[in-house]
This record gives sequence, structure tokens and C-alpha cells, in this order.
Amino acid sequence: MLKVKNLKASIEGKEILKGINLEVKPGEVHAIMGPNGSGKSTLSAVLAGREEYTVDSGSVEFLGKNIFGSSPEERAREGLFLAFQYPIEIPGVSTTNFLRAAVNQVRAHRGLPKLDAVQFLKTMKEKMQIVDIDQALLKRSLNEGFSGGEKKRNEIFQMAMLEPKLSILDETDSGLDIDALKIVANGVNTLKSADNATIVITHYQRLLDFIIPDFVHVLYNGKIVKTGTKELAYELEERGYDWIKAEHANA
Amino acid sequence: MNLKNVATTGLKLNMQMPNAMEMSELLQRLIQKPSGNNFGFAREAAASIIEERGLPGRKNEEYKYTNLSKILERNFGEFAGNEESAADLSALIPTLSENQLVFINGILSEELSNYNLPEGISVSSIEDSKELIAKDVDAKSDEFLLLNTSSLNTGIAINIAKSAVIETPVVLIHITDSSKNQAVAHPRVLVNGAKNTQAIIAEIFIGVGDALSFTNAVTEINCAANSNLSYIKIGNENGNQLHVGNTQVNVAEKAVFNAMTVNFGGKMVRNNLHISLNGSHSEANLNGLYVTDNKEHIDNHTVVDHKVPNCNSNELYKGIMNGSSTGIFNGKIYVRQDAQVTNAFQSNKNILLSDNATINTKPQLEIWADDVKCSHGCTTGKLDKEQLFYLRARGIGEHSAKLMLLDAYANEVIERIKDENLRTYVQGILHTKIDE
Repeated sequence: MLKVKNLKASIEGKEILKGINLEVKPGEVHAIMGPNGSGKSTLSAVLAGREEYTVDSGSVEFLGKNIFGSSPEERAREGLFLAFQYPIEIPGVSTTNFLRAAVNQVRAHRGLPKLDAVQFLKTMKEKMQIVDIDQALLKRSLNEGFSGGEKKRNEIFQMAMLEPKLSILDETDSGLDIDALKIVANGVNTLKSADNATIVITHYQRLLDFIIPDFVHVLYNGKIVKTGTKELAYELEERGYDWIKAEHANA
Repeated sequence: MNLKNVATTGLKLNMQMPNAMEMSELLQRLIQKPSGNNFGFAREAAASIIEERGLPGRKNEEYKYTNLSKILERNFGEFAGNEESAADLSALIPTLSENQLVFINGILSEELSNYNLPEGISVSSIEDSKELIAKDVDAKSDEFLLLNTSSLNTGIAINIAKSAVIETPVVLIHITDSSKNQAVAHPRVLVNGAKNTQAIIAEIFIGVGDALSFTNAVTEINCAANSNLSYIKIGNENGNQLHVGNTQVNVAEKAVFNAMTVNFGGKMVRNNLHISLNGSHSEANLNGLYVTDNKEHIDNHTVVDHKVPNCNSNELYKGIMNGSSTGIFNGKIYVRQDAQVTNAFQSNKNILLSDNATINTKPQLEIWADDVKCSHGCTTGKLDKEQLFYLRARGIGEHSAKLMLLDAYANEVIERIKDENLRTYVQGILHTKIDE
């Protein structure tokens, strides 16, 4: 589904990703862990198509197609979804109206007819249950004045509405209390299928108690320096990142 | 109307016109000479002042960025008076209310108007108010206001009777028609809201024709005690139109006045909105939106004059500028020495969609009282990149994402138009304009 080969990327002349290799297949859950500043958020930004980053070399194939010629909206319509670490507040645009536009543009791209207001509302009500989000919240301006937990639930709700092939959750656990974390993780697990895949980017192992990864990768200094199974996440939780840093410094 | 206090601080005049002779000839051409002479005294008094002062040029602080005189001088050299076009103008006229009065080049057209005024509101010729107008001729008034008075021939007075609640807006549609030749119009409107009244008055300015035109409108509004009047001005003029509008408002005690000034274009537009809070516990709300493109130039000058204690004013003007257009916002707030316990807030926000668009924004607060809550702020920037990316990352195309953000941005102002027809009309023009 996703093939990242020797990806190097920089911002304002500063190299952040220094040769990433990663392959994600349908049905898999990958966790990417790493200390602050290792390049985790840059990787998700580059995959989603943020224009501030320059891809210096390497390739990324999504569903067999090179994604670097595609705009962020084209990638999203193809089935790439980024759950933002810091969801953006947009005053004056309600979640409902925004999502109707998004869902219908994605559907048009996939050759599906537009959902009318009734069908859209019906779909919305079904998906709302997945993350236990209130309809009143969705009538309000997008993310404006939402609590941290509400913002993250709204991200997963959008994911449910857009039915992506590959979801990248960028530090979705940051700042969540345990109840909110369970709701979000439960949402992600509900949406999981044999056809889609998830990349969970996180600093802590905590989220991985609820979203069980098939692979755990450690990103450090712009490279994936270690890959393992969920046991690696426990080890990191136990020992911290210093041994990775030390190991890598010696290498 | 007493503008003396304001004029002394509000207008710095430049009496030294470099080419006074030529300007005077220009004025002779611009000042219309109607056959009736019902306003003789007012007209002559205004004409003599304006002829002495001339039209404001670049050296006049108030018109520094909006040098209308230059364009007028260059373009109305041959002006010989309006000529009626044979074109059918009815297609241009939106249906916004059961009470619509249509003016072509400043003259009421009974044929195109359609009204069935409810009880409590009457429309009459402004001639009935000629003494009032004569009394108002003030040497310190805005030059274009004086020019309007010096050309005064016809105009209307809208009178709202005591305690009348008028739910249907009265909509005045002004069409400046320059399809045959250059056109000059001096529309004049007087609104008198008696005590305890409630009403919505809208003025819509539309342009037609390829020749240059000049609309010089004056609207005076008197809000008596405990009244609630909303005034909506919508400018949807074309790239051949020059427009100056002077809106003068007096607000008596416990009255609320809501102003909405929306502009979607014009070659050069200047709106002077002057609100005097003359009675205590009165309130003024000023909202504005300007959307410019190409080489359009839209200038909003507002004055809120807090003269008495316990009054509130809230002002929000927003701009969206594209192409190599220019926007100007100048907001003055005066809080006089007597005006204790004043709340006055002002905000001007701008989005520049192009590197060649310009905004000049200047808040100006002059406060003589001490128990005052006053604030002003302005922001200018591009469309928020983070917001744009967020929408695009959900599959929304760049163009529709921009429209969505601009629509939301403008709606903060537009949603304050209470009348649905007028609000939908404004939203429609906005969508056409930003979708270009």
C-alpha cells in the first residue's frame, strides 16, 4: 500500500529526513516512535503533502503511484488521511458543512454520486457513534473552542466519514486523558479492516496498549534505526530513548 | 444637524488649490442646474462654499489616498449633462423587498419602483425638508456633501411615524447609467425615525454603462429617542464608476443605530459614515465589508462621535483585496469630555489575496473623557496557510477551500444583516466576486 524508499526531505535548507525506508501493507498497523525532534511529524507532513517541505531524494508510492506529483487534496481523495497532532480551528466553517464538502469531493474522485443532505446526515449519525461525538459539536465552527479530547475525537470522526485506505495518526494520544484515549483508540480499532492500514506516530507506548501494532519502528535523527514488534515499544517505555541515542551515536 | 464640533477636529482643509480656476470650471460642470429652484438658498450657500474651497485634492489629509478631484478633472472636462439611455434597466434591478424605490441618475423612477408602504412609514419629496437642509449648510462640511447640496433638485424623505415597527425593509436602488455618455448623479435621502420606531433602510448602488460616471450620494438619518434603525448600504458598481457617499447619522437617547456598509467594487469609492451619539444610553454598531479586485479603490472613512455619557459603539470592518486593488480604512472615534462611561470598540481586518493589493488602515482615537473603555485593532494578512492545508488534507480542492475560508471570513460581517433577502443578495454577490 505504501512504499517509502530512501526518503530525504528538508525544510528551509535543513535536512530532517535522512533516508527513510518503510513499507506498509493492507491490514497492518505500524507504530513510529522516537524522541522529540527525530522527524516523526515531518514524515507525516511530507506524506500528506505539506508544501513547506522539500523532498530532496527518494520515492513514495501510495497504492502503486508516486505521490510527489499530487496535491494534498489529490492524496486525500486517493485515500490518504492524516489525523493532525494539532487540529486547526476554522471559525465560521461548521464541521458539518466542511465534511459534506470533503466527503462529496472525495466521492466524486472515486466515481461515486454525491450524498444528498439526508443521506449525509444518516451517515454522519452512524459514524458519530464510533467516537461518541455530539451532533451539537459538529454544528459549531470547526474545532473552535473544542477541548483537546474533542479535537482528537473529531479527527477520528472525520477519518470514519472519509473512509481512507491509509491513516496516519500524528501524536493523536498527546494530551489525552485515559478515557479520551480509549474512545479514540476504540474508534481506530472499529475502522480497522483487512483493506486499510494505519500508521500510529507516538512518543509514548501508552496508546499502543489500545491500538496493537504489528510493527514498531524507532525513528531517530531522520532515520528508522530499529524495527521490531510491540515488545520494542515496551522496551522503549522501560528504558527511554537514551540507549537508542547511544547505540546510534556509536554506530 | 450640528457638525461644528466634529468638523473642527475631523477635517483639515486645504484651501490652497493649485488650479482654483480650472476647479471652478469643473464644478460648474458637475453642479447640476435643474429648472426648479426650491432649494435656492441652500444650493447657493453650499455652492459658494464649495467654489471657494474647491474639491479636495491630494494635499487634503482626509482625501490623501483618494484623489477623486484628479480623476474628475481629467474625465469630466467635456461633461454636458446626463443623457437618458434607451436601455431597459429593469433587468438590473433585484427584487429585495415589497418596498423598492428606484432612482436613475438620482431621479426617482415611478415606472421601475414598486412599493406598497405599510402604515407608519411615508415617503415624500425632500422639498418638504428644505428649511432643514438650508440650516445644515456648514462651511466645515465635507466638500462632496456640499457639492451634493449645491446640486440639490430632488430627493426623498422617509418618515417613520412614532412607535411604528416596520418589518419590511425600505430598499432604495440607485442606478447610475452612463451607457450613452458620462453621467453624474447626486442622490439625496433623508430618513427620520421618530421615537420608538424600528425599521430597516437599504440603499443599493448599481452601475451600468461603459462611460465614466460619478455618483455623489448624501444620506442623512435621524434616530429619535428609543428608536432602532438599521441602515444597509450596498455598493455593486462597475469599474467605470466613481462614488462618494456621505452618510450622516444623529442618534438620540436610548436609540440603537446599526450601519452596514458593503462594497463590491467601483473605480474609486469613498464612503464617509459619520455617526453622532447625541443622547445618552445610545448605541451605534458599524459593520463593513469591502471586496476589491483589479484596480478598484475603496475607501471607508468612519467617525463615531461620543458626545454624551453612557453610550456604546462597536465597529468591525473587513476587507478582501485581490489584483492590484487598494483599500483604505480610517476609523475615528471621538470621546468628548462629557462622554463618561463610554464603551467604544473598533476592529479592522484585511486579507490580501495578491502581492499587488494594498491596504491603508488607520484607527484614530481621540479621547477627552477619563472613564472610558476604548479599543482598536487591525490585522492584515494572507489566507491562513494552516487552515487551507487542513481543508485540502481532507480532499477539498484548493479553490473551494479558499472560497470556504473567504466565505466564513466575510460571513462574520454579513450574518449581521438581519433581513434574509438582503443577506442572501449580499452573499450572492460575494460568491460571484470571490469565485472569479
